Amino acid sequence: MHDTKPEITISFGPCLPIAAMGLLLSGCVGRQSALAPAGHDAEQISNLFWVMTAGVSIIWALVLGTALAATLGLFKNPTRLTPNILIVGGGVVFPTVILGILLIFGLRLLPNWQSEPDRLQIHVHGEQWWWRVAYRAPDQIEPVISANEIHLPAGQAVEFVLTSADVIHSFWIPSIGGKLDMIPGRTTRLLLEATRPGVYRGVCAEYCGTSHAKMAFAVVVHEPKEFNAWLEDRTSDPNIGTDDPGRKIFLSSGCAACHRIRGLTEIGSVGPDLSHIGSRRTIGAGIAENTPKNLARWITDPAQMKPAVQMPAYRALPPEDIAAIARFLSNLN
Amino acid sequence: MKMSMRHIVIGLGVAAMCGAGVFWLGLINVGASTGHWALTDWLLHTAMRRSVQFRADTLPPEDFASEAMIRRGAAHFETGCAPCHGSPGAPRGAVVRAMTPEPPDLLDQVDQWTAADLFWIVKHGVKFTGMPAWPAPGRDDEVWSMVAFLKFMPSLDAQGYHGLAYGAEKIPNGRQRVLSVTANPALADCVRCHGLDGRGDGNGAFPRLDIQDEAYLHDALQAYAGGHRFSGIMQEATAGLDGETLAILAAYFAQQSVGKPFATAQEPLEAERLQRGKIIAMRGLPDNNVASCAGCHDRTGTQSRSQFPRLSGQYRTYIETQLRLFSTNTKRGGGPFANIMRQSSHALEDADIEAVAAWYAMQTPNP
Repeated sequence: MHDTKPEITISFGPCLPIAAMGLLLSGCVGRQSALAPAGHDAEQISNLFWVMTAGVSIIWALVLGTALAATLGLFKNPTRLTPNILIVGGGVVFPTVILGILLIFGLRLLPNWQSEPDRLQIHVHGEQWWWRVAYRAPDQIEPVISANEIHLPAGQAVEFVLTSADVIHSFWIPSIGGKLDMIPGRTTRLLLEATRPGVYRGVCAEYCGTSHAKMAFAVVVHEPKEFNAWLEDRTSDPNIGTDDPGRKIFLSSGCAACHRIRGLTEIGSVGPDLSHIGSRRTIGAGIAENTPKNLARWITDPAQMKPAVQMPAYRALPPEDIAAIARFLSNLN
Repeated sequence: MKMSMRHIVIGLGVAAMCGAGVFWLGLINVGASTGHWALTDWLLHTAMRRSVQFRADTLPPEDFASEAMIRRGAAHFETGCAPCHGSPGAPRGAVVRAMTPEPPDLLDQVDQWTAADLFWIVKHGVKFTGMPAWPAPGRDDEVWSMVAFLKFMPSLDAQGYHGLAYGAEKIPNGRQRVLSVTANPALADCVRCHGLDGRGDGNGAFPRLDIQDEAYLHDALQAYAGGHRFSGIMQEATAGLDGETLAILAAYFAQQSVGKPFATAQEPLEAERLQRGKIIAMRGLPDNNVASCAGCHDRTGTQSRSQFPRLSGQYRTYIETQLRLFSTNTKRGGGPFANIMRQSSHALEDADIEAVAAWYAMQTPNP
């Protein structure tokens, strides 16, 4: 006796295009997409992209349609479309007009570079493989030093001053704008205006060495009021637990030789500033979530997370000391 | 008879078989008792001389033949070389004289070689003679110390040699070294160079140990003894010492009272250089990825980890040598934290190394 099982056939055929489309579209949403703009520049680039795509599609259809019609012999009595009209019209007049329109359209997108002294300036210094960040508001005496995370006010143009310490990097926040190269020995400037509050992701867009792919940063766009409060908070020292055991270990183990913590140690500036590191979203320049566990992993062997990184491994420290440092850093905000 | 190709092939075959027979049957006498044939001796010796002269091409360092280099070379000569070659203090023993070839008495040998020749021989050793290579291939600084001493040796009598090898000479503060106070042979060996008070000679031949913490000294000794920190001198000095002895040695030197820096006021010309050294020590060179030394070493307030060496009052030459070894990024080795120094110092330039070493040498050590 045979059991008659219902036969199930699974066909992956129809799924494939859907899956492929899903993959393609997943790139168009979220925190790092030039097609989901959250900034003035990104919006213009996105518009330009769609206009170009539409125009290209129309021209493509026209050219192929004409070719197809000619092949199929639909132009049997070309009384009105003489070859001369086709050649002069399609080969000279049409491209000149279209390219002329595109040129004007493109030139109109160039940023307005009239200097305005009361703009917020953010100095971003690219280094292998992280970002040194300094905020300079017009009325501010000392810049606010930070690293690997950029905060912006929505609806306000911000001037980015871009430099590089070693090789050519490129500064790009796909959702907001850019990209612009950071060239050793030169200063490049970029004017960006974020429009939509949220958290985005910026990257280095120019191959810059072994860990180029691990050189990113979080971008947080605030409502202007919220941003001012944030910047105000950053002009003061972080809360440092005076009897935190990790504080003593941080200082005695030599972390301060490279890293500054406002109000605690000012001698080191080779590595990223760690004042307020507890409030950052990521560690290692956008490569891992900022948790005590990841911090401990990073301190133990940074090169395992970011190959060829400058920071030496602190494997020789007892694990409980590393955990204490990680906890101490997580509380700095 | 006309020689054909066939005769040649057969002849060569027979010769090869005879050779193989001599080899396999054990007809070659390797006994050292009979020495070499005069011809073999001439061939080997000439090959050796030509080989050394052909390859010796290294120039001596700037401080070659300084008092400190000669003293450092002498102390290690007594440990590593005198047992075979003899010394102005003691002739070669009967056992080594029965070697083939016999290790030469160096007194009448060194003048036949240039400093570069001697450097090559001491660094690489000589095959088929029993002459070993320098145990730490990256420590040319140590090899040059040995060469400096070898060139100086012919001018020494037994007493002069003993003074250099055992440190029995007067040290700057006028005290005589007394060896009999310690019954521990390992400690007696340390004291020959580093002094009873751990302050070295005052000339930078050997690093000061009195300024260091016990944990650092213990790490360093373990690294030498375990073959993780490379030095032809210290690896030999610590070879075979057990863990307990290493701990006793570290504790002994850490307990010594901390003396003043030996380096005194520098020439006015140096003021600018010292200023540069201070900046590197206290701030680093952030643009060159050089971290500040003071972040790890000799912290005040929250004290540095006791595994980190102290630098204030250390000899300039020692700090320079170690920074050069670290910055070349190979062959230095070290304790569990050595990788931090390699990363922090690889971008240091020579002038900066000299500046920061000179500055630290003048600082008063923490007690």
